[in-house]
Amino acid sequence: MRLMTAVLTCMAIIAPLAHADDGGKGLAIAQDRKARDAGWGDSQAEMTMILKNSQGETSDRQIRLKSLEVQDDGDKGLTIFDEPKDVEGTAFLNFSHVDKPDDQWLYLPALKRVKRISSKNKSGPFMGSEFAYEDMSSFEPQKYDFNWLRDEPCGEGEETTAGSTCHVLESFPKDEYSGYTRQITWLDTKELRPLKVEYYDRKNSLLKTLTQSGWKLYEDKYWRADEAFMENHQTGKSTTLVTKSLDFKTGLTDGDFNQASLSRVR
Amino acid sequence: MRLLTGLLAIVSLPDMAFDFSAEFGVEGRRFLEEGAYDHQVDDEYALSWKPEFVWEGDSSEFVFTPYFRKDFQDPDRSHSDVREAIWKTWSGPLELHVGVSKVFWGVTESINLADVINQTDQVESPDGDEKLGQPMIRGIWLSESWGTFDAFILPGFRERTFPGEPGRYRLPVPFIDAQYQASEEDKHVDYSMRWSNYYELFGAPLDISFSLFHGTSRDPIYIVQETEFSEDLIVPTGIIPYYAQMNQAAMTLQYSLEGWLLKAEMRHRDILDDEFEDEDADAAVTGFEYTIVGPLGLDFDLGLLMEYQYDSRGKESLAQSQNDMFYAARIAFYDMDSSEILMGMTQDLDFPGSRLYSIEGNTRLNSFTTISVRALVFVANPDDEVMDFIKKDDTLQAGLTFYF
Repeated sequence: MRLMTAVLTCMAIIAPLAHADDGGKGLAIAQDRKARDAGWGDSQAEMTMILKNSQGETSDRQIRLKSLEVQDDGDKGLTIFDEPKDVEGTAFLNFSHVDKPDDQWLYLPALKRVKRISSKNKSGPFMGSEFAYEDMSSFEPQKYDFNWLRDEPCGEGEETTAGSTCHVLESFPKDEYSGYTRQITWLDTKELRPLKVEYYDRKNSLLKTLTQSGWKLYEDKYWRADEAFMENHQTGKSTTLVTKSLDFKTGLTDGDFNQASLSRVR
Repeated sequence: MRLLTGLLAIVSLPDMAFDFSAEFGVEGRRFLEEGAYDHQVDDEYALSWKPEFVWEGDSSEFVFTPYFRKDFQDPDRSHSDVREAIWKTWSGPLELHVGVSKVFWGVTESINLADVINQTDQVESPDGDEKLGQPMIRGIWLSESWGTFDAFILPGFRERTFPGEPGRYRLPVPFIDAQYQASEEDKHVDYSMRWSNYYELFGAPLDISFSLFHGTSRDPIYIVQETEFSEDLIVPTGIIPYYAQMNQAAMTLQYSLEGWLLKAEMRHRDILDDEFEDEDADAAVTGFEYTIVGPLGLDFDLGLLMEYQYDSRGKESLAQSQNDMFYAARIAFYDMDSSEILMGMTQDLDFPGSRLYSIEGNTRLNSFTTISVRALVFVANPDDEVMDFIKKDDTLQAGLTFYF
C-alpha cells in the first residue's frame, strides 16, 4: 500500500512534466527561430554586467563577448573580463554542442592556467551573476524537447513589442545536468524574439525570469536585445546585461576561439 | 607615474594600443611559535608592486611586467624580477614568442610534476606556486586536428630564491652560493617540447599532454657544506643549491566525467650527473576533484579534492611528496565578491605524525581591492627530517591587493 502511495505520488509529480503532444508545433517554432537567425557569421560586443544582491547593493563587470556561428554544431563564444581589475584578462570559452555537453574552459591570468569546467557544473553561476554557465551557451533546438502551450498577447512592454502576440513555448532540457526542469519562453509571433524566459529549477518551482528589451535590428536581419535582465525569485538577486556596442561580421575565425591561446586574449 | 605612462604611450608603435595597469600589495604574517633557529623573526611585513605595460596590435603584442618586493625583516625576501617582457606575434595557427615569460603546465592541485619551464620564487610563497620569469624563444603550432605543439629554446637559467637568516621555512644553516654541473653555469641553453590535445572518450573529454625537457634542473640538489674546526668538530655551515643537468619526460591527463575531474601527472627524471644517480626519479600524482553545485540548496559550490603523491626516491630522500595523501575542500560562494575558501590537509603516509594543514580565503572588498588570508600548521614526526626543520613555522598571514 505504501509502495502504491509512493508510486502515485511520483506520478503526480512527473505528470505535469510529461511532454504534451502539440503535434510538433513547438519544435517547428524553435527551428524557425534558429533558422531566421542563421547566417550572422560572427559578432563582437562590449557589455556591462550589473550584479545586484538582495540588499540592493550593486557591482559592475565590464565584459567583451566574441561569438562565432558554427555550421552543423553549436556556436562558439568567448567572454573576456576587463573589470573588476582583479579579474582582468579572465576569459571564458564555450563550445556549444547540439548532441553532447558543451566544452567550457576558464583562463585565469594570474596563474596562467586554463581550467576545464566539468559539464555537470553548468548550472553554477557565471562569475557570481544570476546567469548560469548554461545560460551563456547558444540556443540550439536539438538541446530541448518542446511543447507549444498557447498564443497570447505579449503583455506590457516597450513599443516594438507592445500589442503583439506571443507564442508561449515550454522547453525541456535533454541534458540531465541542466539546472532546470523546464523553461517557458515568450516569443513574439512576428519576429520570434525571446522577450521573456521563465526558468524552473530541479524541483519545478520558478527560479528566475529573464526579460529582454531594447531590441535592435542588425544587418537588416538579426534581432538582438540591448538589455537582458535576469531576476532570481528565490534569492532576490538580479543581474542586468547591457550591450554598449555590437558589431557583426568582424572577421573572427576558429583560430580566435582556441583554448590553447587564451593567454593572448585581450 | 602619470608622466611615465605618458612617455611610454608616446614611444608605442603607431598601430598598437597601449594599456597600463598595476597591482600594489601589502602583506603581513605572524609566526605562532618562536623560530627554531637564531635570528628568525616572529612577524614579517612586506610591500609589493607589479605594474603591467601592454602594447597590443592586430597580430602582435608586447607585454612588460616587472615585479618589486620590499620585505622589512628579511633582506633575502626583498627582490625584483622581470615576470614578463615578451613580444608575441601570430599568424593563423602559428605563434612566435620572444622574451621573458611564464608558462604553466598542470592539472592537479597539490603538486605539479610536469611544470618545468619556470623557476620557483620560493620567497613569495612556501607552496612554490609563484614563479620567476624565464627567458625563452617559443614557437607554437595550434593544429586543428593534431593538437597544440610547443617548442622552447631557453637561454639562461634563474636560481631559486630562498629566505635569508631572519626568514622562516628554512633549514638550520643558511643557503650559500649555487653550483652548477654545466660549465656554462646559468648561461646553459635548455630545450623543451610539449604536445597537448583533447579527445572524446565515452562521450566525455580527455585532456592529454606530453612534454620533454633537456637542461638545467630547476629543482636544486642540496649539498651540505661542512667546515672542519678541529678533528672532532666538523660542523655544517651552509647548504649549496646544486643545479645538475637532467632529462625529463612528463605527461598530464585529465578526464572530465560529469561532476568529476579525474587527474594525473607523472614524470621520469634522469639526472645526468653520475654522482647524484640516486636523484633519478619517477614521480606521480593522481586524484580527483568532485564538484557539488549548491549542496543542500546552499549558495556555494563545494569542490572535494583528493590526490595521492608518489616519488620513487622514497622516504629517506628529501623528496617531500614521496608517499602522501592530499585532501581538500573548496567553497566558491555565489556572491558578487568572488569569495572563496580552500581547506586542505596533506598527510605523509610514511611518517604518520607528519602532516600540513592549510586554510586560505579571499574576497573582493571593493572594485579595486581584494583581501586574502591564510593559515598554515605544520605537524612533524621527529623522523621526518624536512618537516621537522619547519615545524615551528605555523603561520597566520593576511594581505591586501590594490588594483589600478
